[in-house]
Amino acid sequence: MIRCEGLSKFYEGGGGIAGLSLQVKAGEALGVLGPTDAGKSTLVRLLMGFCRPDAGSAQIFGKDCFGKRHEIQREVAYAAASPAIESRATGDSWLRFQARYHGGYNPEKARRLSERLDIGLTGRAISLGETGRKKLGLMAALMTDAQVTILDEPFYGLDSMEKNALSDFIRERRGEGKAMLITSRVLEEVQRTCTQVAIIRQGRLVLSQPVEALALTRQKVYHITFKDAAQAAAFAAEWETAVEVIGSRALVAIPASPQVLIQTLAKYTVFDLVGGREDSEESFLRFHGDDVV
Amino acid sequence: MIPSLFMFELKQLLRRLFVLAMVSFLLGLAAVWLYTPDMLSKLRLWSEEVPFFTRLLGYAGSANLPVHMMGVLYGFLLPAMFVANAQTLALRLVARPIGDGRIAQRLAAPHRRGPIILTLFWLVVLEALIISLAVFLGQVAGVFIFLGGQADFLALLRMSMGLMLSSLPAGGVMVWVAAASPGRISAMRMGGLVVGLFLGLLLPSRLAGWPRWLGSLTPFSLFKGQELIADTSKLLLSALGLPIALILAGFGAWAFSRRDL
Repeated sequence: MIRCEGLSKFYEGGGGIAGLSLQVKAGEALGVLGPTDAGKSTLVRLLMGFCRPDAGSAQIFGKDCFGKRHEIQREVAYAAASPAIESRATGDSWLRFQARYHGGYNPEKARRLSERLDIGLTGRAISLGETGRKKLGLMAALMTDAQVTILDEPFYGLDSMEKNALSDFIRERRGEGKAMLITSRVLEEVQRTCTQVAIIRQGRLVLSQPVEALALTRQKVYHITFKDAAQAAAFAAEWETAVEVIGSRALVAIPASPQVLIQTLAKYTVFDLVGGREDSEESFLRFHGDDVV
Repeated sequence: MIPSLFMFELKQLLRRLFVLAMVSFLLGLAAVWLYTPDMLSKLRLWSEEVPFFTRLLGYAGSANLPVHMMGVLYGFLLPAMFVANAQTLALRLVARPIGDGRIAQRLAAPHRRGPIILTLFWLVVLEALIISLAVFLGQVAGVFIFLGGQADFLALLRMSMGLMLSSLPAGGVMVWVAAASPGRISAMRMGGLVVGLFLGLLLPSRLAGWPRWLGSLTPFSLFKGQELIADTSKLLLSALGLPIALILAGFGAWAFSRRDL
């Protein structure tokens, strides 16, 4: 349903995306992960037809997202990272307008969303705060029966209860055979809700794979305690890569079998050896290095 | 036009429209008050003291109430009000939402970009209509309060409508500027320049020694106030303001359709 081929958009001050290719089929949810300014929002803007690409193509239902935007949008639900809502409008009046303006409104979904996300509908938007407006934006998107849903940083700013509720709605929507694209800075949010993950760094696609496969790319981490600091330093000099030494202790990350590590350690006096798989957040950080904010 | 968008934006504008209608009503009322004998003598005295200034503002005596209105209202005050309001409204409806993301929210719906801009343009037209009607009602109230109800109301109505229709191209230009400008500040500057240009060309064209064709470079050249007092057919000339405004707003819609947000 969503397809990008070599999609590029450059800005004068830097940023944007370069040569991005990805696709999302019906019943799939793609989580686009990346740090701030990685190009996630640019991708969303291109898919929503807010701007035209400098190169490549962005298509939904096989139609160009910029040129045929108005034809696509009836079946696209969208929530911005920070929805802009008229300050004097009440939540209720804004949602009623959105329902009439966009179409495809499902009152049953709207009722459940307002209950689960605890959305204040009577207050004016100006008094709702950033999170309140964000929840209104999410509700406007999710209360429709659109076939494609694009959510820009939907979890950011929500509390854990609201995150859980939103995750349920996203999974439910996916179960209805709808295609979803969700951007996030947090891997765990994507793991909870998506079937696919794409990691973007500095506008380029670093990784794209099923969420389950992400666990396989995780490295194993070993905490080794040597007899003294000299031994730890000697080991670090011998091991060379992916090793961090603090006093008599060393931290080693290895992608595969620990066989070589065990052979190497045989030459040293080891007091303790604790191993385990790095957690998903560490795995994500490894892809992004110092870019993560 | 997109009815749901028009109605939603109209609701957001109600307070502004109410304030503008009240101010316009009071302007109409005050203009009639200036036609009372005491005020007329002061006005004549003032126009003799500063003839350059009164000529610049379009005051050409008070032979009768409609002619008086031409001088005190339609010469400068209302044209300035129409142009300035068109600019602030275009900024509010188009330029500011482009900057803060509300227009992006509008685009996340099955509507073409052009009709979105044209819908907002109709709100500019509606505001101009409300101002002119409120001015007329103020004049009517003034006539009943100060002049015992004796006046050519149809002439006053023709003049109000004529000026309103003539001012519409200013609204079209402002919508175009707001839709095509890269940001709110640049739209504000460009809009201010257009306001200055319109008034800067209109006012000197009335002065001796200045070419009268300067005034014809502004949309207010479509307004033939003196002739409208007796001749309804002159409204047709003013009515040209609407298609001209639509063409100008259409340029805005075209520019908006091609731009990045």
